[in-house]
Amino acid sequence: MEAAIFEGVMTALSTKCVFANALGVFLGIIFGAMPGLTAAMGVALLIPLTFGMPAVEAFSTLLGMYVGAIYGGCITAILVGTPGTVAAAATLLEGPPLTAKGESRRALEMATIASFIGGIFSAVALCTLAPLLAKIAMGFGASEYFAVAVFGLTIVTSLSSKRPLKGLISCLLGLFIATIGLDPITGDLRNTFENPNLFSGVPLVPVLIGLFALSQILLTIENVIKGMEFTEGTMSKQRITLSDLQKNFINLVRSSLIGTVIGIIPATGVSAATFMAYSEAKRFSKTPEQFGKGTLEGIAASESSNNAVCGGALIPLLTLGIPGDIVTAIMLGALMIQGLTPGPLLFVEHPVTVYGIFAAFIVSNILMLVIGLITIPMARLILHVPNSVLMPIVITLCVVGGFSVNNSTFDLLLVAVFGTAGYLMNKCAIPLPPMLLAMILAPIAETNFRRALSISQNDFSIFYVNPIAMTILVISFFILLQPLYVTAWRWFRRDRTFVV
Amino acid sequence: MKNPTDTVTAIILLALCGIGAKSVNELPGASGIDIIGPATFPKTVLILLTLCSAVLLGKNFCSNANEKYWPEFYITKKIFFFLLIIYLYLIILVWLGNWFAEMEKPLFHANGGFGISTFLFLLVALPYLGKRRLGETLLIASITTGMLIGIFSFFFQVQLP
Repeated sequence: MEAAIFEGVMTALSTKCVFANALGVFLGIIFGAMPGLTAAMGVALLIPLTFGMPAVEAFSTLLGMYVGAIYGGCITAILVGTPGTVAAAATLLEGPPLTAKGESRRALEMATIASFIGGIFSAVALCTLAPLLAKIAMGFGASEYFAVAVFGLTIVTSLSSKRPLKGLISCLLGLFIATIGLDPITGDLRNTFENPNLFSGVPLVPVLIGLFALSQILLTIENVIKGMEFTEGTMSKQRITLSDLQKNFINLVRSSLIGTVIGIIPATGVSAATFMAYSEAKRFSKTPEQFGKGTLEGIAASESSNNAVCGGALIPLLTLGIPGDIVTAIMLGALMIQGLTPGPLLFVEHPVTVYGIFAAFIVSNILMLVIGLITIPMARLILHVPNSVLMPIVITLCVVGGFSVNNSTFDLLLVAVFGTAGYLMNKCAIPLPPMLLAMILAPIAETNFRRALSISQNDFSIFYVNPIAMTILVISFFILLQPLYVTAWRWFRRDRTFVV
Repeated sequence: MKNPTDTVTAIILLALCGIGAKSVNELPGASGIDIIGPATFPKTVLILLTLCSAVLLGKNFCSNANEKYWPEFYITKKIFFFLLIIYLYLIILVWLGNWFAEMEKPLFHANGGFGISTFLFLLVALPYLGKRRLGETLLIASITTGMLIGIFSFFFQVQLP
């Protein structure tokens, strides 16, 4: 055990991994800062490039991108008044007023240090809680795995809380796409429409790039066509002081805790964490009237909580194979591409990789602090690249990424088709994350369901006699019915609006 | 009918379910002592998808909500034209890639198809999105293409299309 931890840490600290991590963080800051580029897009585009790397090196790059992008969103939120990512939505409440007061650099430095504290706090939670949870999950059999996969699928209700019906449609489309290829038990070909390219199923990377990169580019191009321009604020000279940090110490710890806990709960969302931390900071503040007028407390709360979500979201991903948010859903695909099956067995079969990933996450946060503080004076430069130039270049990256995993031109067609489908789904208000989640979890759910029935000789009681499977399925059932409670609650309050 | 987008979406989904049903019906059933076969899971998914699409269609006829999903027509038109440029880029890329792969001269074997098609794509896409100066466009297109080939082919050693 100790040897595995040591080897994992040393791998993550090797020159190659640290360089890959720094590259990921740097690119992540750019992706997070630029409106139109997202953390999900960055991770999806990096997966094909990391495909040939050893697992820890690959995850150093991906985690660097994840951490950097979540942090980078604050640059645009503070300087421009537009959140670079959803994670920085709450930062928007305090950033522009601070920039208007001539304290932009102070705000950016607080955001950087708060992001680092949040990230490190969640890294500690990841290193301590994940092995414990994995130990509990070690006794899981086919019925429990089926229940866990169903639990993951019920997350669609929270991923599409505004339109649960469309979320369900997206999920079902993903489930059907997942059936294309070989049957996991009998090996029969299913729904391949006699196309040999589909015999081994729909490859994940082109789908990821199409849905989360190309479709997002098309949405950004809408703004380019509209001629939307950003006016950034000036960089001030006033810097953060030690007293600023001392005053916010408890606020930083509380917000990091909120972010980590919300990150662990699958698909609750990073924006929920930031707004909750922000409102708690306001509630406990000695000067709540300053909130909204430009206070560092708000920036500290929002930024520490959003980076704390990263580590929290990795806990269910690595221990149960359930992604905590959309970026970790994409990372689940990256794990599978590396030949690693997320779940408790990962801790037994690949302990060096797991502890290497933990160490790489800590390194990502340290690098984010260093690169963040160095690049703050140059932060405005990132915003000077116009989207009209950037988007065509990112399209060429999509093409390279889509092709490079299988070296197949059919995958390029899939990138284009899923990119078009993703754009159209966005325009029809059908959420994309449930589709991806379903495509990833469907094989786990189907295989374990059929395996469990085989073991029990077609006795369905295997799912309710087993207490763990039963509990997870009951919780899943209640989560699935969540839109009905909301409707009933609204009806009760005489706000008679259907959520379906 | 309150929202034409939802109605069209529901109809397209029902059509997709029809195509899916045709494919699923050709799958073998459960064999031996198993009660669940290769067709069970896709069939269940298709039935649920058909039901959800029908609910979406029905709900749209009954609902009072009138949501607007699409941007102005000229933006939509420009986006779809840009999509056409992307598809053309991919077609040219694959065609040129195959052509260069079949060539005798080893100089052009590696990245000729990718280089030429990417350069042409950027030459068309940049002015389309507002970069009007030809000199700047040529410079950006050539530097980007060169950098992509340099970084991916030589640094990351990734095979380009």
